[in-house]
Amino acid sequence: MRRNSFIKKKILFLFILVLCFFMMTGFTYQEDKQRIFDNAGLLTEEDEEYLEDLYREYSLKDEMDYILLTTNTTDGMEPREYAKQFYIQQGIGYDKENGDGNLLLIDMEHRRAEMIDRGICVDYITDGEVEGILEVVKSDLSGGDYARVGETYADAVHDCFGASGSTDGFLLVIYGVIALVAAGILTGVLISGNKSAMTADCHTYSKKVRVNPATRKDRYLRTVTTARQKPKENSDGGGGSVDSSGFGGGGTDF
Amino acid sequence: MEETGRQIKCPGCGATLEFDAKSQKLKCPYCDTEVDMEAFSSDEKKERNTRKKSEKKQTDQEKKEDVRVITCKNCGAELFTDEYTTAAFCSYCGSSSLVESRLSGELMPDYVIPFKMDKNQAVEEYKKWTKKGFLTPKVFRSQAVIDKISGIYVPFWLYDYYGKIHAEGECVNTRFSSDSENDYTHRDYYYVCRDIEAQFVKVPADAAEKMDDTIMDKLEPFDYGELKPFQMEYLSGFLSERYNMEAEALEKRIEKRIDTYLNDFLKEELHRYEEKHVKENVILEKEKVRYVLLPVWMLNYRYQGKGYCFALNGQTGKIVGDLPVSKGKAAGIFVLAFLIMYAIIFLIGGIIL
Repeated sequence: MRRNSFIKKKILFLFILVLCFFMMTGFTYQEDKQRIFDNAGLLTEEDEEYLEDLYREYSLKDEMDYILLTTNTTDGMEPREYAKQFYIQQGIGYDKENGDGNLLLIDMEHRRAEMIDRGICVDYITDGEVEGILEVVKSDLSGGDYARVGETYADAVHDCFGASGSTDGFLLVIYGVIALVAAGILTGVLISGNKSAMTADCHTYSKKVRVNPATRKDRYLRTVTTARQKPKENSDGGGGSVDSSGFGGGGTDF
Repeated sequence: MEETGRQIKCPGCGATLEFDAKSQKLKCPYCDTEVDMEAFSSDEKKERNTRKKSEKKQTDQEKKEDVRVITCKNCGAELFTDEYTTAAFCSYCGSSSLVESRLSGELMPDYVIPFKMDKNQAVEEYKKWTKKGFLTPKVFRSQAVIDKISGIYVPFWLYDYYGKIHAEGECVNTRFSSDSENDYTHRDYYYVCRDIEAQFVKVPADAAEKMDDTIMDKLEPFDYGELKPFQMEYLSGFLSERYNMEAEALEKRIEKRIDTYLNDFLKEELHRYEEKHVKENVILEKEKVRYVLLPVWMLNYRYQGKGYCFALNGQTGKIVGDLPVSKGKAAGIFVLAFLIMYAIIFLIGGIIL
């Protein structure tokens, strides 16, 4: 009888171990969307593969589509318009068509980079941050480093999500600490269950306990009051601005 | 110095009578004859009366005559005892021997609480208790360990004290309020004075140096309603020791304890105040000291180089002792708990964030 329960415990243990493992690797299904559109042929196949993986990873983590579009011609449209058209036509958006996402257009014809974003991205990326992103993109493009700019751009955008989204490694460590503390408390309680306690207290051996009513005094003296100002709410200007068509972002020449 | 051990003879078959906890009488382990305690009481009664008249009688000569060797009256074998043993078993014939010289005169105890739990009951309680400990190594439940339980009368001093505590000072309670502009903290100060007095009756301290004080303390309380005037015959069938710490030597320990009790009463009295800044003054008066023997079932065991001592109150059955913790079990539980907690937190975290 005893050995059976021991084996059962072992199996349960292994099962939980395996479950944890799966949790950590994240076994939700991968989206097989294309995210890198290298129409201008600026990237090697390896670069494309690498960027596809990177953009997929970020898209899943931040729950919005990261898209890179390069082109040699804008078919007569303004670069920004071209980017918007592409976005709408391709039905880009994480939650729905024309939904949450951001796109970087590298227009070799006009030598212009345009970034557009939509949906929750607009809330998270302030105008100042858009400027910063474009700065970084510009410096890479001016150097002719088209492969790197894809990554630099994605990193820069992903950073904007850092504050609220999961800074993954750090969060896991926090989980670990909480679990350690909880497990420690449980083990501590079980260990203390093996110890004995003192039963006798002040009432065990005492008789005729008496408080002298003649000298008993409870006299109110004074009250000291301290005040503390309530903290004022900070109005933080969050989020970026949006144009009439519902897209945010900006552009820069390179 | 040699002495012949005193033995209580069975009127039926001549074997040595032993005190039986169940019937609270002397019983013969061979022919089951039972004898009341009253049949033997006259000797001690006489002695108690004479002793009351002349208190400090133990002469220097008596102190020098330190008996180390007892001759078993039953089989003639020699038992070597330490200087404080008052009851022992002959290692050859197993009969109970009492060291009369250490149980009379100045050394005669005032009272004794006879054993109420016999060995079988003690073993049952012990078994139950080892099962309770979740992290106990299995070896502690083995029969070999359990058989080592022995019943011993432990010497105690019981103190009667009068105690008084005077406390005076300021106490503070805090309350909170707020309006639209600010949060307010109000501290109310009170002048407080109390005088509490109490009688403390029969506060115990174990008088055998080798007994672990903490364990003996935790065995309390004993039901003093069952204290009986001392009779040597109660000891037959058990081990026993005389005191080797004087009543005066233990006063400090007792007074510290009573001081704590008075402070506890004060805490109860002032529990309505959150902060107490009072000065206390304690006065204690010793009123009486009694020398008694209290029944304890004890088990000493070594596990992984450490000594463990378990004690069972021979009257109430309370078990005291720290069950050893199997490091393996503790580590295993810790790791398992950690993994389960981690999985749960991870899932919850994923849902919330």
